[in-house]
Amino acid sequence: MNRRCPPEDALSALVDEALPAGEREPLLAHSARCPLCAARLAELRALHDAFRALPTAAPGFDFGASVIARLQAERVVPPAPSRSPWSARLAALIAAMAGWRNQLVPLAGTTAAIGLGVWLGGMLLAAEEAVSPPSPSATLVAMRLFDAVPPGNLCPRVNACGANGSTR
Amino acid sequence: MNELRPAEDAADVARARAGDTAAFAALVRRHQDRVFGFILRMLDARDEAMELTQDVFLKAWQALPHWRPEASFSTWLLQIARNAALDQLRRRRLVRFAPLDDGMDVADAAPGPEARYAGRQRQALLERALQRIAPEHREILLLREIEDLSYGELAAVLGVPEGTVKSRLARARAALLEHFRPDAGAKHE
Repeated sequence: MNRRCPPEDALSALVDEALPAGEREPLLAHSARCPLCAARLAELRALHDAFRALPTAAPGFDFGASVIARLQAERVVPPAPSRSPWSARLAALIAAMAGWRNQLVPLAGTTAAIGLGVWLGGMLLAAEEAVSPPSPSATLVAMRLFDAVPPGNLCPRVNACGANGSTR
Repeated sequence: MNELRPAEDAADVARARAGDTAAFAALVRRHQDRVFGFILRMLDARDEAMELTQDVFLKAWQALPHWRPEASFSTWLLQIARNAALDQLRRRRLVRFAPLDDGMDVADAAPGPEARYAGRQRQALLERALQRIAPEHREILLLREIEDLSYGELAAVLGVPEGTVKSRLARARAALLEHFRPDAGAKHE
């Protein structure tokens, strides 16, 4: 095929008789004088014919009886009568609410207990933040343990410690 | 294959929705060859196809309230079958790598001298070639060439625009022709 040839989509759709007449006739005319497109069209048509020649893959089995037996054995819920979607959803919601009614009291108690705990904890944190002065980060304070003169030790020599004699 | 009878389908669906299992059994019998044949060629495994065909009809029973008469019942069933077949292929982790040798009960694919077997050999070669292409190509070819779905119906079943149907069909045919030459037997590999 060359640049003037139609795309493969068009040849495929031609085989399916899915092209409008305005596209079909020019494509047939092109294929009549283009050996490449003519060959491709012949391949596609032969493929179409090969499919048509395939035998039916019949199961040789009565699915009607077996499906009904399974429906009855597994107690598959029969289709509900036809309803509008919003009414069906509303009915499902009401049914779900009815199922949860017995569990609403313990659920409310649990929720209240958790809420109270969170509130009390929040009050404690707020009070601590209010009275605590700004302090160096906990990591820096902890790292002083590894200084040459750890906190609380005596200065081994002059100038080894801070000006007030403390270790930093 | 059973003839399509939309009016009878609609009547049986109405009765089945009211809980009439006999009406549903009639629907199953009317469409079982079509559904089974499609699934068998998608999966290339008869036992799995038998099981999955039953599952498809069970799903259809449960989904009956969602069917609308505007859609062909047959096409709607094929949509359920298509989804079930793809799910099964995913479970088998064979979406990309289809089996090449095991499978359908078809004639020996080896070329033979007897001309009278040529037709059966071509069928066998086509069945094998179908198993060598990607499932999305296989499904669209089966639905178009065997089930005779229109481009509009294909778009509905596959959930893609009609333009995509057109291009995917062309790519599927090109892929199949890589493995199957209708006029000259299988491509030598």
